[in-house]
Amino acid sequence: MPPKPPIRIPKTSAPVARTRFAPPPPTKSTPRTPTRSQPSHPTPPPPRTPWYGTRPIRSGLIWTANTVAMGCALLWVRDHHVDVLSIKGVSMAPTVNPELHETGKKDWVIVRPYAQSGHGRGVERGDVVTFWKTHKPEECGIKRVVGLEGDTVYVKRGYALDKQEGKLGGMPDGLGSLDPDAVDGRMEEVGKVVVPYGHVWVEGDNSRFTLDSRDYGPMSKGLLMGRVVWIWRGWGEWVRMGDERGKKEKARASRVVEGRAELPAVFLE
Amino acid sequence: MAPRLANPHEWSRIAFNLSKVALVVHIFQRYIGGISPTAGMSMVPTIPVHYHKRPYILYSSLHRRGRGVKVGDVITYKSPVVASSQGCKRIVGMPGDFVSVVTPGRRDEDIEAVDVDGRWASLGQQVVQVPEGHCWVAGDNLEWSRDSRLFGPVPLGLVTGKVLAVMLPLSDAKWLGGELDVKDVQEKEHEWVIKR
Amino acid sequence: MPPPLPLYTLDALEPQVNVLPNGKARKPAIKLSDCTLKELVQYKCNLSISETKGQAPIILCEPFVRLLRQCEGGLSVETTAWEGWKAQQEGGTRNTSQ
Repeated sequence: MPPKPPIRIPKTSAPVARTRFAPPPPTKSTPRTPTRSQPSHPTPPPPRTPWYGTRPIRSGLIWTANTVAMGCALLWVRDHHVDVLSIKGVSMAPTVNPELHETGKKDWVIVRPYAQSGHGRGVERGDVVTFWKTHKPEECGIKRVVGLEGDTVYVKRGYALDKQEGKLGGMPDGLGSLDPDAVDGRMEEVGKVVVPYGHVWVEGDNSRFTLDSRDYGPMSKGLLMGRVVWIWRGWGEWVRMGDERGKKEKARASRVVEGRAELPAVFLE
Repeated sequence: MAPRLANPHEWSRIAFNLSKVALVVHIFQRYIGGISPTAGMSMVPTIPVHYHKRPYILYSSLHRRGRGVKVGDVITYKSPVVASSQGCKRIVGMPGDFVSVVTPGRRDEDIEAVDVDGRWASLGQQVVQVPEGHCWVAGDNLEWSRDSRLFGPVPLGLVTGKVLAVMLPLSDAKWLGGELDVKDVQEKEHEWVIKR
Repeated sequence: MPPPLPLYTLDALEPQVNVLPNGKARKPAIKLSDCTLKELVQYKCNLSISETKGQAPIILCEPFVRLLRQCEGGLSVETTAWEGWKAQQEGGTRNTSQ
């Protein structure tokens, strides 16, 4: 999936803001003219030029400031309230892009960003989320959250089935696998992963064509952007995000045993 | 001035303009950069620690998600474990690079203990390769730093910016960055640094 | 958190540098000793409370020098432990060959 498309700043927005809120206050030198359409009308030269220049310069500055503010407002809405993304891959078929292989029709999704923009607070099992990919930092991904922190995931494929001896795991408890006496709690059994604190386990619905936590491990909540709430397939075709997986897909998904995690003592302030 | 302020419309106009300024500042800090106070022991002596006067850093958010950062740069990032807290550390390895395994530093219960046999932050005899899309970070104060030695490589997607300079206190003001801090090997011994 | 990372011992570092993360061989191959040797100084700092009363505590920082080999193409390899090991190896082989 590509990075977010840049938001275009509509040039028409600024005059609206100006007419509603910011009629420039009259100054001593330039008396207010009733018609705004002729600001550069040759009036007698003012005795003193204010620091912000003459009237056309000033209205230009106000226009620029309002345009910048409007652009920032759009970015803010995208970051905190609602975002729209086009989905290119088939990893979430049949829930998202079910017909991409046959017809090439792509879905658009409406994303509700997590309130604290990127802290992933309030994420639940079963949510479909968008996130910045761990292996490609400038690309967005879309997957289903299967496990939360503390959950135990028994995978049916992926790195967790490999042997873990002689490897350096991320050490959430501060005890490394470097210490030969330390018990590495995360990997006591092949194929079993305990999701560490502050992370989620994500999987694609289409388990045959997906690169997900089974390949790149648990994902930090800080990478989450938002929860997908609606799918848009064309005018009049709004679909609420649900779970379209069939029996086959569900059988291939990992088994999850719910658990709880607490912040490891080493990270307490 | 007084009759203008008596007008409620004037107040709402001022409030609207102030909120516009706040919005622009917020977006500017998130996407371009700004100045921010820091706290913590992990980057001493590069970024000093003061309990009353907090040090200030200049950061660039144009380098968010690891754009254009390199080994030796100091970055700010969302902690992979506690996403609501920000960290500030130095990059030791970028994707594909190799880094030495260094054991984690002291923990809180070690506060009174004396380091006799170099238990803390000691160099291992092994290296790891930083995976694709990640970076390996370490605090400049290796004894009191929670970094990649604890939580593993940090996804570049969590990088929020690059620290360009320390601004305050003035006695420690300096530019930071890989091209300044990764130097040719010097023959002479490095001296101990004493901070008051 | 990525999958657990393989650990390489110092003697495996030189061949491993020429293996790309996807398993293919690096072309052209890099010889570690041809890359420029750089250093990055970090520290081990601790608060030192003086015996005499009334004096403010000071922070003492012991330097911890990281040695890096920066190769063409942007690869950076930390050789803090490797440099000494390599020198010892070369010294050792020279001794046996004499």
